[in-house]
Amino acid sequence: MIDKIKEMFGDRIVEEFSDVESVNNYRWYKTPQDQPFGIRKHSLTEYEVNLLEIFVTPLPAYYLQLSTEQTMWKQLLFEGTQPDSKSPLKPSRILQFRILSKDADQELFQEAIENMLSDDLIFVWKNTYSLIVIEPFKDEPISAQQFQGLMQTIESDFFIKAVVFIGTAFHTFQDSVESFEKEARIFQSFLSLKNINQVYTLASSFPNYLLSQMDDDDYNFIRNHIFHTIEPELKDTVKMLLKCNLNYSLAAKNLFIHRNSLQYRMDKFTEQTGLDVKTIPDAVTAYLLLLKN
Amino acid sequence: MADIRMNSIMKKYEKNVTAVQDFNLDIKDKEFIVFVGPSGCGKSTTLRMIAGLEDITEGDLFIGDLRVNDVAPKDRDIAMVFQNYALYPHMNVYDNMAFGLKLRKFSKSEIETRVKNAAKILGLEEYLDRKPKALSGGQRQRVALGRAIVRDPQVFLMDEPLSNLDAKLRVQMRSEITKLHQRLQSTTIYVTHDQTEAMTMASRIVIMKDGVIQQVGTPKEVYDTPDNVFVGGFIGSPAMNFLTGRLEERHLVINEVKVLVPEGKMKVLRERGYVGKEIILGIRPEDIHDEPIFIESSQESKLVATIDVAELMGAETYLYSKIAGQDFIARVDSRSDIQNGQKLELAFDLNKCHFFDATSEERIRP
Ligand SMILES: Nc1ncnc2c1ncn2[C@@H]1O[C@H](COP(=O)(O)OP(=O)(O)OP(=O)(O)O)[C@@H](O)[C@H]1O
Ligand SMILES: [Mg+2]
Repeated sequence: MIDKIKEMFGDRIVEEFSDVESVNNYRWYKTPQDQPFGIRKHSLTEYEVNLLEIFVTPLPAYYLQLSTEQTMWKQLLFEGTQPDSKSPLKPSRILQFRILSKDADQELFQEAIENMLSDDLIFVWKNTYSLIVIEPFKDEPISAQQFQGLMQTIESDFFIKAVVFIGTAFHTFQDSVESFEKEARIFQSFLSLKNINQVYTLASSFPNYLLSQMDDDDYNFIRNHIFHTIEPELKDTVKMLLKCNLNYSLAAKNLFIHRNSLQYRMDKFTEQTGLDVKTIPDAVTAYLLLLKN
Repeated sequence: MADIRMNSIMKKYEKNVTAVQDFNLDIKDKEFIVFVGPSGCGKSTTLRMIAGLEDITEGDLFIGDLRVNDVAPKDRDIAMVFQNYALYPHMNVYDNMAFGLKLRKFSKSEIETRVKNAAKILGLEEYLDRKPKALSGGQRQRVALGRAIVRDPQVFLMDEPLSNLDAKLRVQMRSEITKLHQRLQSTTIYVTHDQTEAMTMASRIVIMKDGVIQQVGTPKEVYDTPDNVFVGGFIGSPAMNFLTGRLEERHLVINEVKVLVPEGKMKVLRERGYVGKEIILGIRPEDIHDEPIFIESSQESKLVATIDVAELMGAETYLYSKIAGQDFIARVDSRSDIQNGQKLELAFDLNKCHFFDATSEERIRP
């Protein structure tokens, strides 16, 4: 549908309301597919408006009617406005939510997040599926692990897939703003890695990010070289052992083998690859070589 | 009524990641089905396809008479409980249970009826005003179940809902879920990698490995007649022992150990042409005996084993040993008189054992 609309309205239409100017000067709608778009206000005739609203719905007010704080954050984050030193904004951490399914109820999504975290959050919707949440600095913020559970809860309430990137918590709000741009860019590349997380942090996604920067051919070359003679079963064994943080008893239990058999397999692994996962550098190498499918 | 039919379901995440393949399963209304298998075998993926949270790459999924491949998750009439499930910390128990209904635009009075009813079933009536922080682990888990129950769905999907609880609470919640199922009679699919959970809760178990169903059956069926080595080894704790040997006219020879194969089983092996070939013997730890009276009457299936480790487990003892470099475990009545390294007579109860093809690892049957 959006393509048809673009055809009709040409350059009077925009699809992102990333700056305050576009919020005020455009009339905002979303298609039945949840795709938002804005059309320059003064260019629309009443007839066009009536016609449009048969097919598309106006975007709800909470996207567009922003509080002073929301407006300030929006300008800071998306328009590069420099924070001034007397700004009333607080040091914060920035959470970037991305809704990956259609048909989400954004208003209740926002309510769910308020009930997950606290009621002093600032919400800035970038579009109908990207929500930026500014969480004022807390001494004991919710951990990534707790987020994991809360995201599953949201999933089972809304029947949608959603992911979150947890930014770094900063003591000063200048730092929060400065790191946002970089965090946003890195989050974007985490998303394209198609790994299975619902919760991303800089730390937890670092290994995957590192691999995404590496040439596939080189990676495969190195892997094939090191795993040249290895039996496939041994790879699963090592994966499990690493997953169990080198706890042999636990890994053996999960693999349904005796601890001695695990030891025996690991000796074979070392023989065949030269890697001894009891040392940290070799464990890191093995981990990275087993991370990709 | 909620039968679920899955026909040749396949899931590919990326071009070279096939998470589930050729998945065929008919689930009858009111069944309690357990998906079990090692990490990464595709249990969650299958469950999430049923929920609609993952697209189905190929195949057909029916709930009732409706093909639901393209039906939105929220219209599938299911409710889910997940492993790391959390409650909304800032909502009280009532609101936690009500939130999913509010999302679905239920009326206030309908929400109240349903929440109160679920609270009654779960024994949570006194706690409706509390915040999750002020609940015990078990109570929280019950609220999590309550959030699903209020939806009164055709199908419950549970993905390792108990794996974050401590062992004692897990056992207790396990039986609560079973009771709940008996009461609500909704079709339930339950994912776990814990075979004990599978054995104790399931009306039927689906055992998976590498995205492929290995066997479907009642707990007793999969325990007594595993279709292949994997199922034999996965179901049962400690695991079934596997010993590779060569089949002669009447005996299985495992290096220096030679055991008589009962004639009934021998007949099948002979007919299938296994004489002179390598096969795998599968025998459960409890079918290896140390009682003199059993050994006395099993002169042709006994051996002298060197016990590497004897583990006293209370009412029983696990004996770890080897034949020709192949590990095995015997599970015998409690005894504390065995030294590590000691030699001991043991006998196999070959009437209870299984034989598997050494290449395909399938159970050899008539
Ligand atoms: N979103 C995804 N993208 C790519 N691959 C995935 C994704 N989700 C799962 N996989 C892969 O699909 C396979 C099956 O995963 P799945 O989560 O279904 O396993 P599981 O049986 O539930 O395992 P566990 O017991 O660890 O939860 C695994 O190899 C996994 O790495
Ligand atoms: Mg899983």
